Amino acid sequence: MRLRTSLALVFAALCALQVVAVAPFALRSLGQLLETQHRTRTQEGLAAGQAVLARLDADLLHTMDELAASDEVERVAKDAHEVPLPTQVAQAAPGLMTPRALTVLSLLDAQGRTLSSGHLPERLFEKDEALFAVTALAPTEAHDALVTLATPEGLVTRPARVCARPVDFGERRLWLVGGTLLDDAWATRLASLLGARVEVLSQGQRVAQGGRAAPPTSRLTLTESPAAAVHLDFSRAGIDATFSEVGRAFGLLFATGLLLAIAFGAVLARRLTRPVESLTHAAQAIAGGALDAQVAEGGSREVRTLIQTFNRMTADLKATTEALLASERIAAWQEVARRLAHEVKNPLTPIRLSLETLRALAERKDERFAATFERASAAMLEEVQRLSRIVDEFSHFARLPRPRLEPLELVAFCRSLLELHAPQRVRTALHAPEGVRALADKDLLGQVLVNLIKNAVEAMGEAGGSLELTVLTEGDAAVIHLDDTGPGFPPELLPRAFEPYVTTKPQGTGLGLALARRILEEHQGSLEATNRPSGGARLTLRLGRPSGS
Amino acid sequence: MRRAPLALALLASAALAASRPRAGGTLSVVVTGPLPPADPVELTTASDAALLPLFAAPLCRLEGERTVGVLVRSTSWVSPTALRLEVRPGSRTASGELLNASKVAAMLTRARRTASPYRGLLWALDTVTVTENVVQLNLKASAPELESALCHPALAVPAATPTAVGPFVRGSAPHLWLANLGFPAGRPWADALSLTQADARTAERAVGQRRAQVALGVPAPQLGALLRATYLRFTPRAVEPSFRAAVESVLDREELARFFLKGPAAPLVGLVPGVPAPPASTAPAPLHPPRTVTLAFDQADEDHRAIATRLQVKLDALGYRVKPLPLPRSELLQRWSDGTLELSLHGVWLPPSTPAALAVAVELATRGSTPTPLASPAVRDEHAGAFAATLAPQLDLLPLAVQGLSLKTAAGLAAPPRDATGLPRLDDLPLGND
Repeated sequence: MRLRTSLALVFAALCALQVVAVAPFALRSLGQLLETQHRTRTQEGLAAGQAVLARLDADLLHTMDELAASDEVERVAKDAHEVPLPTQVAQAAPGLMTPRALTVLSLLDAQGRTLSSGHLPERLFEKDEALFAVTALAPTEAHDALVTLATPEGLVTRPARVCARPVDFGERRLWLVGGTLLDDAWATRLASLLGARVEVLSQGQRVAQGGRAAPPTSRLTLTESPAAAVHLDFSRAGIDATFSEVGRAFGLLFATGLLLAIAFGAVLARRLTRPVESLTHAAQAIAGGALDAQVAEGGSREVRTLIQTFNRMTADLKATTEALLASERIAAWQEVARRLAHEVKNPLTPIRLSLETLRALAERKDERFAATFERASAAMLEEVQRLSRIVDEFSHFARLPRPRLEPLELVAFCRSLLELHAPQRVRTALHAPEGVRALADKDLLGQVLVNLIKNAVEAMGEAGGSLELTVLTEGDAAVIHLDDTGPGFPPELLPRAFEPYVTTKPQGTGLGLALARRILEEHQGSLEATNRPSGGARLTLRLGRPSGS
Repeated sequence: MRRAPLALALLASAALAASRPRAGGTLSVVVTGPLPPADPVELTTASDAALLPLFAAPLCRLEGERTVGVLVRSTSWVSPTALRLEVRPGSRTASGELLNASKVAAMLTRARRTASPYRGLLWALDTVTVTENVVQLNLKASAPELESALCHPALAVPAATPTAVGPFVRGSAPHLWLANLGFPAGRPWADALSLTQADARTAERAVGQRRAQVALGVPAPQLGALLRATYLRFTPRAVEPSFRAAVESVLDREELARFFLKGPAAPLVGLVPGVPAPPASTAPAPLHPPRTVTLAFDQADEDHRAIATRLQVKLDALGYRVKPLPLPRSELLQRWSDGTLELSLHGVWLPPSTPAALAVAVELATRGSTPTPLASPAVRDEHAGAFAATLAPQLDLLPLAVQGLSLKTAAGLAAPPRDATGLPRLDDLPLGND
């Protein structure tokens, strides 16, 4: 993954991490806060409801006191003792009830018979046990009672808040029982005061309701008695809506932040990575040889400093490399000159000595001149040939031709070389399966193998020894092991065996093995030298195999 | 002195002329109950009985012991089973057509076919024949009360039909009616009639302030006979066999009439007024579990609503959960005819004769089935009351109360003339004197 992409993703992840880490705690705290507020509100609503009920009860008690003391009721009480019951008495209750905003009113005799009823006039002369029972309760309070009503569904009982007042005329006592039905109107009125939904249950059934409370709701009981239970339902919809709203806001924030973080991260990463990429490209250019690669300055101060340093470094590198190359060239020339001088100087000394000897013998007209001339000229000729060979080798090393790679049957090739170049005193052996082929230039590979065979023969000396060639395949490579029974490489020279001018032979130039490795490298192969544990040296050649082999 | 008798005669003539009623003006009538129905067969209240003859003229009118023709000029018995009606010549309907004998015959035929308790009034009618201007009613049995029964307002020509004819015809405004100058019995005194609906207090105030001349249904002395009967009809399959005894045991008709009915009212103990109460019943045990029944009644009739609620209270103690079912009057009549009501309250305006009233009650109870018990002339004429007492337990009908009409007129206005049942003849009420 590119650095720029990684940085952008890291920025986005950091942003998301913040929201993910903060949102649960924030939402939880918000939920607790809203829950506390809702609980407080409902408790306040409950307290307000109880206060409203107390006030309504007080109003009811006051109304009933006023009604019981009114002239109208006194007249009704007076007429109620007539037989038969006057019509105006039976029809009195509705007229007494309505102006006082009562919804329940019954005039009962001492036995509980209804003499007049405002809420159910047709109950005339019927006993009303439920309302008559209220007369035995505390007159200072309102009580819940079940009131019989006529409805389209038939006679039903409904809860009401009522209280009783005695009405005495002479020695006879009547009872006024009045109050307020806990009906839909009452529930609606209470609901409007409390801001909650009010539900009245009686005998397990809902008999009235008022107001609205959007679900979900939480329920509190305002009052509860055998006749009625009044429940308040407070809506929790606001809390849930707020919670959902905040949750959505967090979600939106998360999404927006993520997008912004990705965009910002991409821009920032681009700004940060552009110098790095420029440096990378410059480094690649340097690796490709363009040592003078420069990077345009930009970015932050640190980055600019880095680029300036890099540019200075590349400038120094170029100068240093050029100086080094010049130095190496000089050193190489010096080494070549030294080697060449050394190699040329060695034959020149015997030549000069032979010539001085012959000149001295000639000046003295010595009779040994002829014999000496013969030996001296032979020696000089030999040294001249040596000089010629040295010059050829140097020339060859400097101008190695490019190999022409062709499939080459190694076994036959190696066998012919052994037979041609191994002397009689050396035992030769060839271990190879038929058909092993390699991609090689026959002339150059032959030159390498001849050189190595000669080196091995020379290493084994006049006493001779054993020389074995083993040809095998290892994967895509064809391998040739050349084992001899000579003394092997001196351990201190083994690491430098392929460096030019390193040799153990007094007359060697040290270019043979270097030339051989160079040829193998030109073949995209390798040449390694090791000492065998059983003694002697092993040289291992690796060459590529033609496709399909 | 010779001129004195002439002067006295002139003075007397002038005085007589000054006291003579003067035609004209608008008669304003306020009704506290429902307005009268368009179709006379839906007649149920005393107000209906008083107002319907203003718009839908009956064949005749009862005055004392005799009948006075309105749409017919005269009635005569050809035989005990044949009654001849001579249609008044020149009578025209509201649409201007001549009212001939064929139209009268068609009206009677319709009244006999229409589902209505008043069909019982024509129980004895067998065939109707028309000869020129005469309609002859051929009876199955002797029914002398048929002559007076034909004067019942429920047998009047419906005002909504093209053949309608009455003292007043519909005017331009919904509540305004105009005098029918071609009314066979003579044009009404007033030029127009304004009929409006109001509660009792408003109606009373309107009369007190002379904004209306007549108020019906306001607290006032009784006017006429108590002929509006209310019955509780039940379907036997919907209630227990002991239902009649249960109702009789808990229902105090005296209380019902005294405390729950407005205007003049009395308990109806027998099947028709004047018939004694059946023997007292013992209260059956309350039903367990309770049984739910519906009680249908006229939704515009406040008296019946009160009776229904009272029955709801009373029957609840006996294990009947009564569900009130207020219905429009026409639907109540239709469902009564279909026999789909469990309990129902019906109000009928009874004819003054006991046999005719009994025929209406039997029709109401039997819902159009043949009232065979009335087929005996002996029973009808001599023992109608006793027969009614015997018949009552066999009918699915419980009489509850009878009501009359209360009427108040504006101060200074003469009391309206009345017919034989005591109902006011408002078309004959003059608004002033010349």
